[in-house]
Amino acid sequence: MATFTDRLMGEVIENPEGQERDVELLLNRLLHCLVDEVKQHTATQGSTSHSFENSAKGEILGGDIK
Amino acid sequence: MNLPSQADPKPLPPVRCLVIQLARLGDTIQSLMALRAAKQLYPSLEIHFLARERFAVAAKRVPWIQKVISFPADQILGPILLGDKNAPESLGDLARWIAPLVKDPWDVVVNWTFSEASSYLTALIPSRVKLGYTRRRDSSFSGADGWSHFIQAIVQGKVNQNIHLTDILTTQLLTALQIHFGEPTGDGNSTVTSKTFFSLALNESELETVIQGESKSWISIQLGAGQATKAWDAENWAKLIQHILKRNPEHSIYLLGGKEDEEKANLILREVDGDANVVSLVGKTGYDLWTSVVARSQWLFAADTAAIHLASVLGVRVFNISVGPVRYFETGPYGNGHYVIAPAHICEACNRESLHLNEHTCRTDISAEAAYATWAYAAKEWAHRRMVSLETHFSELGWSDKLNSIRIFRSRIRNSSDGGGVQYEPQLKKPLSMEEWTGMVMGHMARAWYCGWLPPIGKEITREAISPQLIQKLREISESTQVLSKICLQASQTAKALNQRGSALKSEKVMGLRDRTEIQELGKTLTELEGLMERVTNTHPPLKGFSQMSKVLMHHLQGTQLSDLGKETAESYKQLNEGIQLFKQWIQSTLDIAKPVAVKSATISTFEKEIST
Repeated sequence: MATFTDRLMGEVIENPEGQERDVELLLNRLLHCLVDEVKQHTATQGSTSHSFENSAKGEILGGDIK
Repeated sequence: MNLPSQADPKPLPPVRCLVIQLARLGDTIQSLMALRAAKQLYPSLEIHFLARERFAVAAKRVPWIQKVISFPADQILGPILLGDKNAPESLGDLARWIAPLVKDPWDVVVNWTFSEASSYLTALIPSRVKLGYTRRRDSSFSGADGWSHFIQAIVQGKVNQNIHLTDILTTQLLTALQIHFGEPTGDGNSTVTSKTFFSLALNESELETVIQGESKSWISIQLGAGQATKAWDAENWAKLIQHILKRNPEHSIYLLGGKEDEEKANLILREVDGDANVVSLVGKTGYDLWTSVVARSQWLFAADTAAIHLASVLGVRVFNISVGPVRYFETGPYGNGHYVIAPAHICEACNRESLHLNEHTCRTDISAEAAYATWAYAAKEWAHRRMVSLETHFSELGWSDKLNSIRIFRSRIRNSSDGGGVQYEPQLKKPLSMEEWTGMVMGHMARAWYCGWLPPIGKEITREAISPQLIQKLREISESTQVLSKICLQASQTAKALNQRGSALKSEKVMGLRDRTEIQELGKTLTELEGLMERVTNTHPPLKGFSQMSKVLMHHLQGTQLSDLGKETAESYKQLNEGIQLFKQWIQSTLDIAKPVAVKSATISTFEKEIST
């Protein structure tokens, strides 16, 4: 049976609700967001961590509602 | 031999729970406090805790956490940031780290990070129940539960509300556990905070080398803060220490902080002229030593730092100097008897979240004298039993003028019959601001929406706290709440019509011209009503929460059929209207409390008495 990493590129993973997700897309977005968080916090606070005060709100409340 | 009676509930099978907390140490400790309450009520919870490597140590010291998973940020993100690897190359590293997490489905995944990145991580992990931010099948953002919608629209939307984050996290998890896994089987009355909350791996001799004079009453002072604008100046700390040591020779002081606080510590040591009662441990403590020192202290003094959460969880009293853009009612010290001293007014720089230190005029509002007087009052509660007012206490010290620019609060855990959770009771007779009033209403509304029951309206407002300015503002927004209510009712009716139209259609792709025109008209009406709501709330900032909540609810509508979306839209506007009705009741209740009450004068009473005799 193929492992998760073997199935990574262009493959899908199935979760118990029967939904299929594009793993590569989610992983890519995760990586980019993590890097962006570090850059943003290093620039503003000299810190590499996240806090409650920054969030995904811009995505929703900023008008990007799809 | 005791045999279990037939009435004894069967122990629940283990519930595998993954908690994702990729925020900072303070958020990590608040999460642990919420998890402690859940673990006490649901002993079958098998908690796995995911944190950044830098902050994972706190969870590693908690004996009832099954496993701590560290996110190696430096290892995975470092090479990209340094330009040694590109993103596609690092993707494999990230996938290999995630692989064990997605191997077996979880019973519950709780994402308490509330960030965009963590929503993608949560989406990748298979689980029966998910709480917090995640992603839908099409990768669009999703708040998995009602409390997540509230956090997104209200807490992160910078709308005032007065429920502490620890209480939000606790309620969010306990509600989900009750719905999906049944009634709790554990003891809900045992305390969450404890000196032994953490099992520390500390060498006693190492501790003794720094803890000098066991008989002394120690005060620990954490010098730094999460960001510079939230820290109190070193000069102020130095003056406060001098006031304490001059009048309270039985006390000694530990200075705590990271290496970045060494300059501050050196300045303080110079100011106190090398007083032996002031010991700097700044830059010298790892997690275990830091925790041990705080646990042994009588008080922890700090601005907005993780230390206040550490002291709270250890049951150490906190004196929180809350300067800069801090929302102490959400993230202040948790428990009974903590004190918070804050500027009387939010400064303009705080409102726009400026990172420039000098722009924050609020930083000069709290003087060392005001801080000392407040702490001295708090420390002697056992003697005066709060029968003496803080105003009198300041007056006796000759510092009454220092009260003008500050507010002082004392924390208290409410009775469960009053809604439970921590509240910060004002200790000075100052008028209630519109922001505080809105915070009380929004907190009340959240309880109505997500807890299903309500404590009495306005119970925590006194007549003296209602100023003419507040009354004027409430009257101004009263009419707008009527308008908002009408908008919600009309929107709800329009959405119901959309639901009925949708249900009657044989196909949503092929329909008659008349049906199509009517459906388009209904959709147009809804858009116009949404725009109208936005305009009304823009005019009155205290109502901003409703339009933000509306946007979040509309984003989270579920279903692909027109009829489903119509039904969910109608439900969302019904929820908003319930909130608006509560807002209106609060306005009315506050205005009623403020109404003049006829008091019989002494002369009339005497006259009546004479007549009756």
